[in-house]
Amino acid sequence: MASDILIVDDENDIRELISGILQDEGYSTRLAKDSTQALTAVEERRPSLVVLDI
Amino acid sequence: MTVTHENRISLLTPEQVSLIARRLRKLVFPIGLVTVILSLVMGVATFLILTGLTPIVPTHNVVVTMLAINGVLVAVMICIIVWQIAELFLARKRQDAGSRLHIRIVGLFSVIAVIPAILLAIFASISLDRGLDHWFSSRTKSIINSAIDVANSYLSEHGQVIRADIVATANDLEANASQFQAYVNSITGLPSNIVESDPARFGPFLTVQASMRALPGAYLLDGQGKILSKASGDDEIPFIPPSREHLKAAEAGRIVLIPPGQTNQVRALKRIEKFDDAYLYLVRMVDPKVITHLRNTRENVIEYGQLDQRRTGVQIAFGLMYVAIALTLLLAALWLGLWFANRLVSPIRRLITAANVVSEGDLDVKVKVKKRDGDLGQLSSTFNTMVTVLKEQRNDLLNVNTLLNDRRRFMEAVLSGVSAGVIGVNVDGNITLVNRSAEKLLSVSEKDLLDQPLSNVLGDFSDLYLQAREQPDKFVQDQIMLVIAGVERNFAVRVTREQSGDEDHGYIITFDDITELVTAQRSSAWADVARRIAHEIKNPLTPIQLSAERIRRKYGKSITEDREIFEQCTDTIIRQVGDIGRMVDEFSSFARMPKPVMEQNDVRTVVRDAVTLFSVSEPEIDFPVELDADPIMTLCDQRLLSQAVTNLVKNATEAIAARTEQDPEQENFQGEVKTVVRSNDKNFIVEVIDNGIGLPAKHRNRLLEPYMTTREKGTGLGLAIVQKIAEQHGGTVQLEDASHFREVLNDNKVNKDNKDNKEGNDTGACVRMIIPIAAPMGSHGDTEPHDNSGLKTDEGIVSTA
Repeated sequence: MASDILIVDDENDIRELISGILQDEGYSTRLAKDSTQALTAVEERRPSLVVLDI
Repeated sequence: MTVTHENRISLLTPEQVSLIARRLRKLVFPIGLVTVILSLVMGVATFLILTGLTPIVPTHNVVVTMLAINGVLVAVMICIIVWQIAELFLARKRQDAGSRLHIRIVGLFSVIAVIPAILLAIFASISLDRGLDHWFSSRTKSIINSAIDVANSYLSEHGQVIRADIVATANDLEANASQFQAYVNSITGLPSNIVESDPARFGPFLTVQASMRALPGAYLLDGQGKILSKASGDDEIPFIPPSREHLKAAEAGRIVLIPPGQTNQVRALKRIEKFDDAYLYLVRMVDPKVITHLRNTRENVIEYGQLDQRRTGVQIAFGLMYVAIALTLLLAALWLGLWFANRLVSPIRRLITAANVVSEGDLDVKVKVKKRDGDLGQLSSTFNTMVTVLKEQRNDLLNVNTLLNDRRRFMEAVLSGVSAGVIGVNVDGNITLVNRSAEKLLSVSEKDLLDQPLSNVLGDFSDLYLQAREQPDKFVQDQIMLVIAGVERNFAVRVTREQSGDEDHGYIITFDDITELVTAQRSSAWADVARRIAHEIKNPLTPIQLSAERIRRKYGKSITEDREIFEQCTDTIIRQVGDIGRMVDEFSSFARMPKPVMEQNDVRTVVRDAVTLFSVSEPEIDFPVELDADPIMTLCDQRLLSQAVTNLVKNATEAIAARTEQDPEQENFQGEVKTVVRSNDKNFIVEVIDNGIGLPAKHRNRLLEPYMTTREKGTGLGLAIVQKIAEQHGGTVQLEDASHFREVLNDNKVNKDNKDNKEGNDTGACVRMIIPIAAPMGSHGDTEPHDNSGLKTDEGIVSTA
């Protein structure tokens, strides 16, 4: 299993784009559109990297 | 007495003189009154005494005394009157109030008083004369004389009768004398004693004789007057012996007739010749009334005669008396006239004096009101009331005036202090008022505007004014754009009608320069929009860019056919998106421009560095720079100032580029951007002059607003940013045509000004930044002169065509 990257952004397009580009490079990605989802995803499994729109 | 007083007066001070004069004047009235009353009393007394109505007998001494007293009184009165009249004329000479009226009234009274007195005197003396004439007329004289004659005749008749009687009786006696001779001689031996010797014999004889002749008494007397014999019945009447003179006269042989005298007896005495020393003495009675009348008549005649002799004297005395009384009356009347005139005139004089004082503006005067002045007193009190009312009204007026003045000053202060321009226009459309702000805002002088028709000098306001006149009930306002000193200014103009009530009301035009306000409003509105839009635009830009880049990366290798087109398209997308991003950044950076950081810098260096960059990137254009010889040190933000200059030069190069594009065939065209930095005492000035396409004629100032551009691709921010930076440094930006500087440019362009190009060269713009030189002031070194309030904006530099 490749490195797990969590992408948090409220913009769907941006989320999808970043995820696509990273997948192109061979990373596995998970997506979260808000803090609740993001925290749930982190609890579920700790990601190697979080791309966070602050 | 007047003279002595005046002599004394001349040694005194004027105050004392007036005091003494006042006292004298007070004394004059009682003295005059007493004198006049005394004179009148004396006059009446004189009259009474002269006419004999008093027990005092008008003897010579009495008359003289009375005349003397009267004379003295008259003299005193004359003195008083003369003094008063002299005072009158002095007053007239001094032109005292009411003196003329006084003299007139005195004159009138004098005439009224004098004429009757004189008439009276004339009538009196004439009637006196006439009366005396009557009294002493010849008829009266003859009547009196006749009365005397009658009485005398009566007496003489009695005398004749008694004479006849005595002659007859004597004859009878003598006839019988011989019978008695012996008898007489025998007794006495003396012939004279015959009767005594025989009185009894003669007694009956005498009695017979007396009764025969109706004589009341008959006597025979001796030489001593002794009765020798007498008729009987003689006791009834008293015997009055004859006087010795009568006896002597009878002895001489005459018949002596003795008139009645104090008695009522007529007597006759005769010597009997036949007897020695014997006398017949007969008595006859006369009516006693006749005797009394006769006596009275005689006395009257004597008095009459005396009077006739004294007639002239009496006439003179009476005349004098009349004169004295007349004079007294006259003078009394004169004095009364004077006194009355004084009384009458004094309130009038007080009134006139007061009126004079009032006419000189003194309203504090009060006329003394005396009750005895009557109607004039009422007039005086009315006058006082009038003056009081006048004074109150004047005070009210003064108060109102003061109030109005205060208000006017207040209004003037407000007018001069208010920032808005105020212009007053009257009903004829002429300018009546221009305040200081109006002068400043319109940059004109009050002198050029006052009394000029509004339509001539301020035509732009005139339309609004006419509009306001047509609709007097509404209030009219509008925004008007004017070019003041080469700068377009926005004015909010409002026309208000004066609330005067009457028909000739003027209008007040108030206006404010709202240029800055409008600009600020536009800027802030734009900045608000820019911030929002920037945010909204930037958000989708990122995904677009990312998408384009991902497409290129992911599919770039796999695409073999028409790979160039693929590359070009993706490149265009990425580049344009980048452009949009930069534009948005520019917007948002303008919208929240950073605060300047002020530092001490040399303006020349900043400008030169900024321009130098362009000479590298735009080699086709000349970038000459003219700098002051001396450094221009001021507090400024080097980065912002540099950006401003960069923007200006960039605009200039774009204007030149635009011109080249517009007219590509133009030959001999050399683009040039000239940058000039100069300074005066207060400001440093940066001018960027190009020969590009030039500025539009209209709405030129709006170019300084954000998003105003004449170019298709311009953001409209370049000049806005310059403006904002200039404002942050307390300065201003002016946009002008470069034609003023053309000659200078032409000189620089050697051999390039032929006729064909002349028109083309006549374009270009000059953008001028005027920024005050700010010296570091101790700790103030880092102050930030934002806005216009921080530093003074200098206006009034040149104007455009």
